[in-house]
Amino acid sequence: MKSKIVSYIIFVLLVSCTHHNNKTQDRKGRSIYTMRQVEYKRFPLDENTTQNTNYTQMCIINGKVCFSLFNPAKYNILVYDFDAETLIDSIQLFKEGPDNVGNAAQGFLICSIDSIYVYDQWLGMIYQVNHKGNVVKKIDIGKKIVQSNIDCTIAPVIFPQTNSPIDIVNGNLILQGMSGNIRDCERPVCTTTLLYNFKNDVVSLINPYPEIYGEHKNIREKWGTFSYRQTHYTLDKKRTKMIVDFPADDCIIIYDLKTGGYERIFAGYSVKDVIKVADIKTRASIDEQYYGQTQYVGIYYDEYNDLYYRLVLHPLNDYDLSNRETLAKKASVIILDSNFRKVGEYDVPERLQGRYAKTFVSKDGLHINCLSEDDDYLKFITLNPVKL
Amino acid sequence: MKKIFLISFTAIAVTVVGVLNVSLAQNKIEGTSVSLGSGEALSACEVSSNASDNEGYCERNYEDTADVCTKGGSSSVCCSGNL
Repeated sequence: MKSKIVSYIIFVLLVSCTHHNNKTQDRKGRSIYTMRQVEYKRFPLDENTTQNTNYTQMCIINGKVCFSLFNPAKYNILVYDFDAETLIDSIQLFKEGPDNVGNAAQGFLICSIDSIYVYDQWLGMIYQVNHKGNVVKKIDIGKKIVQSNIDCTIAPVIFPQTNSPIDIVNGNLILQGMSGNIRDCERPVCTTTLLYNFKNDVVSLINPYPEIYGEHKNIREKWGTFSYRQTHYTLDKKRTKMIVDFPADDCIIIYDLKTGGYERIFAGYSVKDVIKVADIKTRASIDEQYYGQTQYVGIYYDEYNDLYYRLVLHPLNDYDLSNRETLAKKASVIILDSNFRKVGEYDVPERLQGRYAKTFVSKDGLHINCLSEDDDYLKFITLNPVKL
Repeated sequence: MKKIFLISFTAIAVTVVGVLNVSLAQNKIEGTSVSLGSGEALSACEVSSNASDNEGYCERNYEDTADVCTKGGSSSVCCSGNL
């Protein structure tokens, strides 16, 4: 039965992605929206906090809209009043002792101030902690995968980032990442999402790589790690569908969490780029694969305007690996309506280098992390949609 | 003569250490440097002297500012964790 399901999934994904009305792909789409840059969003950082946070997330605590970030230097989670841009709370995590959450925390989810899930990407563990950082629950995700014994469907290497957040939908914990270790398998299917069901204590593996990635047994050898393998997602308005963004694919995948159905829809940049694999054994080849090609790096649902934003980076023609200033890439935002039809495209005025994984949507717009010249602030480019 | 040399050396050493500490405290922006250029080691990953502990692969995370040691990477640089 499982092999039939897998075969069906592969069949669906081998079909070229469709425009939602089945017409010939129109890369440009309609021009209904653009964006405009408004004032930067800034959050103050104290002497113990640098701009090098690896995870941020919007949250609601006691009815207040908050912004939270992980501070690796102090191993704590900082919580800000989003509107006032002031620090209001912190949750200390521990690397050692009875309340340790490992020492490779990568991602968290604040459900309430006394219920925070933290993922350790080295141990493959989920910890639920309270406001004091006491561990109240542990879930060994790696063990759950083994217990589930899911044939040649390969679990992802889970790597939550702001653009691939930890979330809970309908009693399922969503953990997103990239293709995992291939077992001895003739035709493995590499998935990118792990769902952990709290009630049944089991995992499901979904959202396999699309056709452009070629044979799944070769994905790790051909596509690098954080260049094209790491995937991103958002949820729709009703939180019943995952919209998954694959860095090498013009299309996005819509996965229905209720029915288990997949749909592929074109959501690519107006100018096509042929994205190629690399020889990942050499550093230079991986760098060239990343810097010299188009890359899709996130998709975000804007509940305030009922739009989706897909962030795309453009290739660099002239760069010097030893000069950081030449490595910033031009970027655009592809704007989709609630039916995933392309309704606009906007060129981000500033070049982006690193940091863009920390992008999120608020009532104030789309926020993209950028390097602040003032080390005492975490800074975000802020874009608002504008109807033409 | 020996005393003068010892005092001078100590004074210089204390000064150097003091300057270093001030520099590190002021350098908030990039806590870890990322080496660039092919062939150079990625600097934010731990490498254990015990080879069997180096289960991970050190990769540059282009989407963010840090190198990351993960068990699911694909480079040849092995690591045992993150700094």
